[in-house]
Amino acid sequence: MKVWTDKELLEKFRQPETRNYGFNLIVQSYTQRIYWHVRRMVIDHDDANDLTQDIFIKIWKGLDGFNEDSKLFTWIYRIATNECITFLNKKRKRFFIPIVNIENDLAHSLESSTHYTGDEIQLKLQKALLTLPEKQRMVFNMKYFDELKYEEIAEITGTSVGALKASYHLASKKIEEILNKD
Amino acid sequence: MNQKFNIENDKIDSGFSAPNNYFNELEVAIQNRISQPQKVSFFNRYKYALSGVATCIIGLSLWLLQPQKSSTTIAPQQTLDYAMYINDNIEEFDEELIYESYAEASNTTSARAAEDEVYSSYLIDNDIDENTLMDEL
Repeated sequence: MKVWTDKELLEKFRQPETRNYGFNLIVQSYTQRIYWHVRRMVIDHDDANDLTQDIFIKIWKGLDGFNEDSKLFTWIYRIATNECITFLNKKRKRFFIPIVNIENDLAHSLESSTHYTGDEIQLKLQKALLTLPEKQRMVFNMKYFDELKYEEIAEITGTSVGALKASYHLASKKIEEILNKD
Repeated sequence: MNQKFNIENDKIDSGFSAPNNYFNELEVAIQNRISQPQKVSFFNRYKYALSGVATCIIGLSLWLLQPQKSSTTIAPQQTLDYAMYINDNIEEFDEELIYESYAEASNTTSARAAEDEVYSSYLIDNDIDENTLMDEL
């Protein structure tokens, strides 16, 4: 399978005759990465499925206005990240759940999900992650699981590299502490 | 657990999974949603017109409901300030008024006298009888 560069994908999308084809290539190139990024944040598969679809609809609508100030992949990730934060905030408001309890709710979804096949240590890691503040969890996920560079995360989140390094360091220490407790 | 866990050295997977063939179905679902014509709700279609109408109604209501203000109304604080100012300066006011009135009255009297004098001279110079003139007028 050919790996398309962002430039090639955008060129295809911008030609009226290959617009749909170009967008389908973008969907093929990014759906999995975006789904996993979203899934790690919202935990539940159905929520992640709905959000991923909504994210790609937003990308479809906004791609004409994308002026290549950043890489296509960081632009897509930024949309996905913002959608996740908006979703979690809405969920919190909808159920009047204080900040501590939504993470308990997510931990419960994790344990009861049929689409979670992690072993004991993986489950423990995910539960430990749910004790972190939302944005710190987001940064940790992008660095640890997606293996993005700090510069890329900085572009996605609009945060300085220094602040990201500090955030990741704090998150790592807290998780190590939780995992080494028992 | 005896072994100390180190996040940098011990890579742990997230443990999430997705249903079989999920990503193919997801791509199809996204493509279907994009190819569907977007449903525009009544509100979205007419939102600008509706917001204009709402603004007009609110503006009209505010204009109709607000109590009509008189342009001569003076706030109580202003009235109090004026009264205190006049009370403090009452002597200056009186003197000023007297001088002004006197000056105005003097000017008027002298002006009238001057006019009368010119009028009498004109009648005498032209040998006109004032009574005859009044009869003719």
